[in-house]
Amino acid sequence: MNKISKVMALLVVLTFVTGVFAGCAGEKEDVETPAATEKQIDDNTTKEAEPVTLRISTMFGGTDPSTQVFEEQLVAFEELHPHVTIKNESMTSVGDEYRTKVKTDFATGNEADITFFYNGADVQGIINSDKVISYDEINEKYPEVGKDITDGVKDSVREEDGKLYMMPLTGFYEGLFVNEAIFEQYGLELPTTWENLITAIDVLKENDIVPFAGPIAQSHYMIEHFVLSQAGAEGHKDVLAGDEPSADWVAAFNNIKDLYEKEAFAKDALTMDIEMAQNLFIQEKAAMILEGSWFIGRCEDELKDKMTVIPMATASDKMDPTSIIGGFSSGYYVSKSSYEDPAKQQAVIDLVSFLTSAEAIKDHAAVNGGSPAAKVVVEGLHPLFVEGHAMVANANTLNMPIDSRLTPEAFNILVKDGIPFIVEGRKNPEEVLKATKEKNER
Amino acid sequence: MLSNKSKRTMTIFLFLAPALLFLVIFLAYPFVINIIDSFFKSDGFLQSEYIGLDNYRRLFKDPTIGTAVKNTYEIMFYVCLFEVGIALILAILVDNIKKGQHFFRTVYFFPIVISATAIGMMFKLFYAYDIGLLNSFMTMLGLEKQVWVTAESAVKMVAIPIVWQYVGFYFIILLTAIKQIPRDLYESAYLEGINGFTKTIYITLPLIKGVIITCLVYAINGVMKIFDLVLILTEGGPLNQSMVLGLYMYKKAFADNAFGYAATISLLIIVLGLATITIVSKVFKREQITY
Repeated sequence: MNKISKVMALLVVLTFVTGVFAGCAGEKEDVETPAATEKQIDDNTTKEAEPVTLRISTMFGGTDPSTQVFEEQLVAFEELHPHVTIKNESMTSVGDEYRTKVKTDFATGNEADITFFYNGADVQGIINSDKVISYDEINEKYPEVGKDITDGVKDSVREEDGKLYMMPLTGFYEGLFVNEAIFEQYGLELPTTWENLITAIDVLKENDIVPFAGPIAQSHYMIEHFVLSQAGAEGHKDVLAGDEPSADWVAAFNNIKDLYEKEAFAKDALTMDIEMAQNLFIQEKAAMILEGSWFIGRCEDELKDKMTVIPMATASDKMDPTSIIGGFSSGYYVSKSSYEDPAKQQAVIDLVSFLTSAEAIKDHAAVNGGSPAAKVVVEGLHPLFVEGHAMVANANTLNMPIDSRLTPEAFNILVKDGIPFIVEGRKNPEEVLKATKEKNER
Repeated sequence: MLSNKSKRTMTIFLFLAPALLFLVIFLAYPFVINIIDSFFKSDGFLQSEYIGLDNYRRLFKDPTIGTAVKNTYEIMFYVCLFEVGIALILAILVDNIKKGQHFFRTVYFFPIVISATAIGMMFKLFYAYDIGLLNSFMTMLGLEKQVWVTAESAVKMVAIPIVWQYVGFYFIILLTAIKQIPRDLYESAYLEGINGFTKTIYITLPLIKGVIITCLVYAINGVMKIFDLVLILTEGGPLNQSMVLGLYMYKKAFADNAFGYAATISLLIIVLGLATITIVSKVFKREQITY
């Protein structure tokens, strides 16, 4: 009996230990396929025939307007390259989960072969850690990669070291989306000036229409637009540059507070999230919303017919009335380890070339309303998309959002510990800006 | 040659080793790493810098920590009082009915199988101003719509789904404990003229006191870990007034990328959790009752 117990105990221990190590090693084995790798190095001609699995991570998931287009593109690619299997790890970019997923994956060496991610402050740690390869290096061997994307766009997204790590698809713009039908119904002029905006708020409120669908607790878009409208393009760029908080930024935050006190936002604006604010506008219970070009994809054609998009109303003469928030803030990155893996290199190049082709870019632009990064004519667009593109074309300055110049923690002080407290009169803009600056510098 | 006793000890050790190894790898090791991380300014991914005790100094100055600790204990109070309390009342009532016990067991236990995320979403829709269920009732009754989640009410509104979700869990534990009490104790008490209320006070409650304390310990422990439901329901707002420690740690780590500070908050959660459970165990000394 004793012997049986000992044998059983040994078996349990062995099973457990084997299980732990097998579990740890399992995924790596699946990805590297060393036998296949060696064979491919030796015999280049069989490279394409060897089965290879690629992982791709993007923000084209959930309710994103590009989800269907992207999934169709993956299917089309797999049909063209039957030896390539793609694991699509895409998810929605709403909230911070996608950022976290990508950063965690890169930090743990579990990054996807191709990742669609933000540029600027978000990607700096990944670039500094040498985890992604620049397209300058890729183009030395494969000059056709990203050839459809215009040089101007490529130059606009080069990082501080002058290298190009990301291939964007569509540029975004943000603006004030207005339900023109509601404005016409109440004889209101479009809110192109601060006076028009205040008049519209007063009239709409009297008629039980929520003037502004603004989520105070998730005020990302509101912060950058109110700052731009008060401080202008230069002041908007100056993120906490001086020793004392900028008077323009203080005034911009007080503008949000003034509108809050005028009840320009919904009664539950303090707890409302971005989706709830969007729904309020989509259900035509609110007349205005500050949103990005991707928002058009969420609206039905019937609503689009009633909508227009304009730059945020000017709150001071420092703001050029055509200036908007916009640019290219995300694109495809290629993992260095995948590019350097001979078993994967060709497949990675094929996939990223396919996904950044003029045709692919056109498909995305047709559904998300963004400005295409390639010279393509997007046909059959709803006039609202065309209006948006015209707004971008007419803009004297395109300004990147504030969070591209702040650390996540510093920006979240503005969003979470700033604006809600300011509008409720529990903090003043100066102390919020000081705290933001302190956190950004640490 | 090993003695029989030594062989037996070794066999027992071999059986215990896998679980021990598991705990070391997945609990002790991350715990030690967590303590080390608390001395670093780290984005949790690729950048890290030693900053000594800065995170601990920050912990004591951070006003949101004060709010989160207060809210965590407030929810703990509601959980102990209502979660375990309502579960106890329901268990006693169900024990006293002859028909339909299975029905009530299933119905009360059901919320446990729903994920906290789904419950958070469900209650978010209950509370929503514009399309919420509660305001639909208000409108039907001809009353004015209310903003249900305000800075003043937030923590209570968050506590309601937390209590609702786990009542069934403690109900099952307490009902099982009540069922263990020998029936002949009640029968002899009936012969002495005891009634339903005094039966509960003088027989049932004293005999399940140990289980009630266990339920309280579980409930307290559970509150220290709450974050998903609050994340979905209010994100800790408005004005951080429904922030709890677990959620604050999560937000610092995954929204702000301040992993070093998040590690420090998680140590605070452990210290507070251990201290609270020790106090509870001392206050309600367990008495071994045999029957």
